[in-house]
Amino acid sequence: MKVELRDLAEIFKKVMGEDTVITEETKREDVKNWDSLNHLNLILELKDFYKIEFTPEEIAKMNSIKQIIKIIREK
Amino acid sequence: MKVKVISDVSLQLILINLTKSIENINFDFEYTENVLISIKKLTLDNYNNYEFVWIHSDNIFHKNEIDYQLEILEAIYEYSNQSLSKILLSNTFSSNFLNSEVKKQINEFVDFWSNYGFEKRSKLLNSKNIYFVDILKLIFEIGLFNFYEYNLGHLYQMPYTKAGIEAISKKIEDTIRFLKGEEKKVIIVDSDNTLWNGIVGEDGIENIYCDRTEKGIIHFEFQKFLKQKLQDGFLLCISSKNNFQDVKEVFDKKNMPLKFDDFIKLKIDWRNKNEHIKELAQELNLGTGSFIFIDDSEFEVNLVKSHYPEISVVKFPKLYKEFIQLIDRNEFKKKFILEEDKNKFQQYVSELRREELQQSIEDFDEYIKLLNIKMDIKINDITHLDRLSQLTEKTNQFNFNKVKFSALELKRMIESGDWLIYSLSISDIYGDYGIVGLILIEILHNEKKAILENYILSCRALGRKIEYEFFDFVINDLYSKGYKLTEIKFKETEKNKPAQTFYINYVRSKI
Repeated sequence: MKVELRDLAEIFKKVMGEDTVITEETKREDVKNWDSLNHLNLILELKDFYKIEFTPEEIAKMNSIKQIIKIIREK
Repeated sequence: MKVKVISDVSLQLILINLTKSIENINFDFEYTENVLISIKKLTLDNYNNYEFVWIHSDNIFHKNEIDYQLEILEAIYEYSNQSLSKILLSNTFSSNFLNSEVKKQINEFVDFWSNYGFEKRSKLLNSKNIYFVDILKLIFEIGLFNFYEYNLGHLYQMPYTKAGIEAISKKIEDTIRFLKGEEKKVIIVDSDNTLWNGIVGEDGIENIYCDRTEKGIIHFEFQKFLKQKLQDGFLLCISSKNNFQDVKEVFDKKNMPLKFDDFIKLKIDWRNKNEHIKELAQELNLGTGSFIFIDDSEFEVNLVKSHYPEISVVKFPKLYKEFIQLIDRNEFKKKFILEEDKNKFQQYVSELRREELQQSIEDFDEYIKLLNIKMDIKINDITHLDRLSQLTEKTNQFNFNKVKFSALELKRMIESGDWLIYSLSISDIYGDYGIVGLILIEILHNEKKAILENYILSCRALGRKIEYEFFDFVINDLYSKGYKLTEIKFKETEKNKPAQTFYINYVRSKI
């Protein structure tokens, strides 16, 4: 599935706060609000936006923008 | 507003939604693996002041033993008996529930709620501060797999999808708003194309449908629904642009669930409906905020909406599905139904008879004499505390200060020995009014003084000079017990004009 960084950026703003900026290099520790609760929230939003499901293993791995893009692209 | 939340799954995302949608709400969230223990712990904590306690268990059915489930219900019931909080109880499937042995567990579930659960559940439903939030219905509506997020549920105790989270948030929000808002009392309905299919003035009575056929089914079910609401204590009125005789004839000749006499007031003429409503409010002596208005016409619906934004205005639906959604709305629910409410219709009919009598007699004192009013005053009677509490909540006009008391608070006051609670029931030749008033007196034993905390009289007892007699009785009773009334807690509110007049003209001269 095709992934645009633009779309991800919007989803991150929605979940992590309006002032959140991401690039392809962003990692979980770079985003201040990316705690475990918001991680769940993020998964729900991604699921809803792309209409896809994630395996438990994928959910655990999605700790950077790179990983997220990779996992969604493979779907 | 402080809300305690006990849940065996994570509800944070739902609570974030609710914090955004409800003003001034504060959650105290407790995640627990054992709901039963948490409820019992809460029972021991006497000093919390939560307005609501929301108990959510998605794992009630995780443990298969029926006994455990009953124990939870029992604990909640116990807590409700000694708590001032309103309790929201949401029942759900367990997210684990469908993983294995699906069929067996569904059977057990149905069995539980229909047999074992029934008695307990009705006990809970009769408890006035427990409110069921039917999450199960949401699941049926949006579908199990759209509701549950199994990965997150099993790994992170967060078992709901985005749709599920939104649905639960909305449901809880609606419930809280309903429980905090003004209760509806009157349902005003149009006749043509609402109570029945067809326009009696144009189509003729033979082409009017309210039966189990394709043409009449929604209207037939609607009338049955209204009949039920009548029994729940709602008052029914007709507001119709029609010839009075035409509408009457439909009721005379058609065999329908509702009879002409079931309606307390009829506004059937060619005036605008906002005028009907204005008159209904005056004649019933009720605020329009307690009205529901149902009409099939877009025009009438918008007219009423624009004149009275506080009225719940409903356009009568064409589809059966919409009809089902309509009757499920919170407006049609009573927060709790007391025996008093069930007699409400009879009481209003008696009131109409009284008005007829009053109009036929010019002398007011003569009228009062003819009514032959009998007063029955009880002191610290603990058998009708729910009704007394309801009076403190619902009465506006004759209410000295609008301070509300729950049944439990009243019970504690009586038990403390420092309070005298006088309750008044009255009856006359047309029937029983039930409990219509109370005077709350706080006693300062050492100083031999008494303080009037509040004086409340239901509007249906006003205008009969009872307010004087009841007050005098209390003053005399206090005097005979050796107490002097030294303070009266009176506070002007927007709505308590009748109480103000009485306070200024009568009470102040007495102390």
